[in-house]
Amino acid sequence: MGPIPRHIGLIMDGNRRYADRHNLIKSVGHLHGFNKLSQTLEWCKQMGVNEVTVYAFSIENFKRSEEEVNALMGLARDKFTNLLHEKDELEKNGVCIRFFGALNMLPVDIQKLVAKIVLETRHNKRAYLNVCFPYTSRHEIAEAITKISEGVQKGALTVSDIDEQLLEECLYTNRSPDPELIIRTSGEVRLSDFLLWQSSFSVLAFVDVLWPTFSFWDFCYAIFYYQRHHKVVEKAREEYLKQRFELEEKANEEEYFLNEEINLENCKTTRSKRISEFLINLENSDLQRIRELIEPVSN
Amino acid sequence: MSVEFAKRCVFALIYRFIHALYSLFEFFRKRLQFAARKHTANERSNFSVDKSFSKLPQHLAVIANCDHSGVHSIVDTISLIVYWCSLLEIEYITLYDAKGSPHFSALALPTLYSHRFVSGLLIKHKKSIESKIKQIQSNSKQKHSFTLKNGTSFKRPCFTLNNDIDASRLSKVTFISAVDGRQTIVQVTKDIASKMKRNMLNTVNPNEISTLIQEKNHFPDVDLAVILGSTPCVFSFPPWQLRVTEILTIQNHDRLEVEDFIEVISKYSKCQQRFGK
Repeated sequence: MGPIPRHIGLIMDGNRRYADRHNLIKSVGHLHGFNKLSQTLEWCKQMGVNEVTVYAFSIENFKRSEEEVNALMGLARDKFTNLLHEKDELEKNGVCIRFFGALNMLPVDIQKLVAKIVLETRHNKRAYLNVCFPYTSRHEIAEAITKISEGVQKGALTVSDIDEQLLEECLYTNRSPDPELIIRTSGEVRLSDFLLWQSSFSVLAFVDVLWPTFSFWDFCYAIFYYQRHHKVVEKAREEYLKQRFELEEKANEEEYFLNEEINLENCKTTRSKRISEFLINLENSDLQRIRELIEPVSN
Repeated sequence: MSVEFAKRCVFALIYRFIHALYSLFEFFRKRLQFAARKHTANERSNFSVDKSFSKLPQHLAVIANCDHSGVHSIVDTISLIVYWCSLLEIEYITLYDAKGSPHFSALALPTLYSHRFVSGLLIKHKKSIESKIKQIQSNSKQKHSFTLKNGTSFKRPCFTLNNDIDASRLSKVTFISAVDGRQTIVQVTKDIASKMKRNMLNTVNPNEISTLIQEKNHFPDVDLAVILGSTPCVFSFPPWQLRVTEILTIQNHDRLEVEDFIEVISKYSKCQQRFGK
C-alpha cells in the first residue's frame, strides 16, 4: 500500500459537455467547474495532499471563440480578485499560489492580479496551488531551453553544464516534487500538453466523469488507484535516476578529459558554483519581472 | 487523546483491509480471465485485416516496463503486436523499454526476424542492435533461445519483401529506451545553445524544437501509446512526443489475443481530439 501523494496534477475536462447536457450556457459550465475545484482543493487539504497543479487554461484555448475566451477571462478576473480579498485566510492556512505559463498572453489587468497574488503568497509554505494559466508543456520546455541558451550566450554557463537536472531547474516546477498522480476527467485518455516532462513517473488516472460531477468517491478512488501502483512506479523512478546519475557522471568525466583538466574536484566545484549562480540570477530576474507587472518601469 | 489515537488505528486497519480485499479481487479476476483464454498460438496469430476503423494511428508506441524474468513473455507479445500493426499498415511502430535492457532488443529482434514478416519492415539501428546481440551471445555462456517459448509459428503474412513493394508503405520499427527521451531534449538544448553562442540563432519556438527533436529521433509524435501491464504510467517515455497521444493499457499481455489488440485500436478510433478548441 502506497502513501498519500504529495503532489497531484488535475486536468479539469468536461465543463462544456456538462453545460450542454444540462442545457446551460458554456460560461455557467465553467463556473460549476470552478466551484468543483475549490471543493476538490478542500478534499486535498483533508487528505494531506499539500501540492496541487491545475490545468486552468491552455495556450491552445485561445483558439476558442472570442466570446468564450472573454467569459473565461472574466471568470478568472472575478475569482482572482476574490482570492486577493481572502489573503488573510490564505496566510492563515499557509497557502502559496504560483502561476505557470505565458503570463504575457493575458489581458494586462489580469497580469496585475496574478502578480499581486504571487507576491502576497510567495512566503507561505504549508500548501501549494499551482495554476497553469495559460500553459502548455512544450512552451514551458521551450522557455527553459531559451533561458539556458541565453545563459550560454552571455557566458554565464558553458555548453557542458547542460543536463537534465539543469533543464528541470529551469522549468516552472523547479521548486516542486514531480506529481505522483495525474487525474484527468471526462474519459479522455491523453495529457494534452500538460506537465509532459514532469509526469514521466506519474500514475495516470483517467476518470470517466465530467469535471463538474467529479465526486468525493471519484477522488478517493483515484488516490486508492495511485496507492496500488505506487510501488512499481517508485521502483522504476529510482532505477531511472540511478541510470541518469551514472550517465551524467560519465559525460562530465569525458568532458574534463577532453579539456585535459587535471584537478577533477576543482572542476566540479567551479561547475556547481557557476550553475547555482546562474539559477539564483534567473530566480531574481523572474521575481523582478513579476514585480514589474504591477509597477512598470518608466523609461 | 488516546481515544483519538485508537480511532486512527482502527481506521488505518480498516483501510489496509480494503486494500487487501481489492488485491484478492484482482488476483481472482486475473485468474478467471486467464482461464477464459483458450485460443491456441496459431489461432492467435490469425487475423483478418478489418478496414472499417474510422481512423488508425500513424504512429503506435508500445511501452513496456519489464524485469528480466518478464522479458520473454513481453517479446512474445511485442512480436504479435508488430505483426498486427504491419497488417494494418501502421507506418511507425516504436518499441519502448523503460529499463533499456539490451536483452529487450536483443531478444525481440531475432524473434521478429524468425517470423520472417520482419524482413518486410524497416528497422532503425539494425546494425547496432545486431552487434549488441552478438556481444551478448559471446559474453554469456547461457544460450538465448530466439524462438518463442510455446513454439509459435506464424503463417507467412500477405506481403513479403520483393522488388515490387514500395518501401514507403512498410512499417518502420524503432527500438528506444529512456535515454532517447529527456536526453534528446538535453542534446537539442546543447545544439541550440552552441548556435546561440556563435550568434547563428537568437530565439527558438516549440515548432523549431519539434523539428530538431524529430531529426534526432527519426519518428513523429505518437498517436497511440499502448502500455503493457496494469501500471498506468508512461515510465519516462520521450515526453516531447507524447503531447496529444492517446494512452491506453493492455492488462493481460501474457496471453495477448487479437481481440485485445482490436479493442485498443477501436478505442483509439473513437477518440476525438479538439486541439484546444
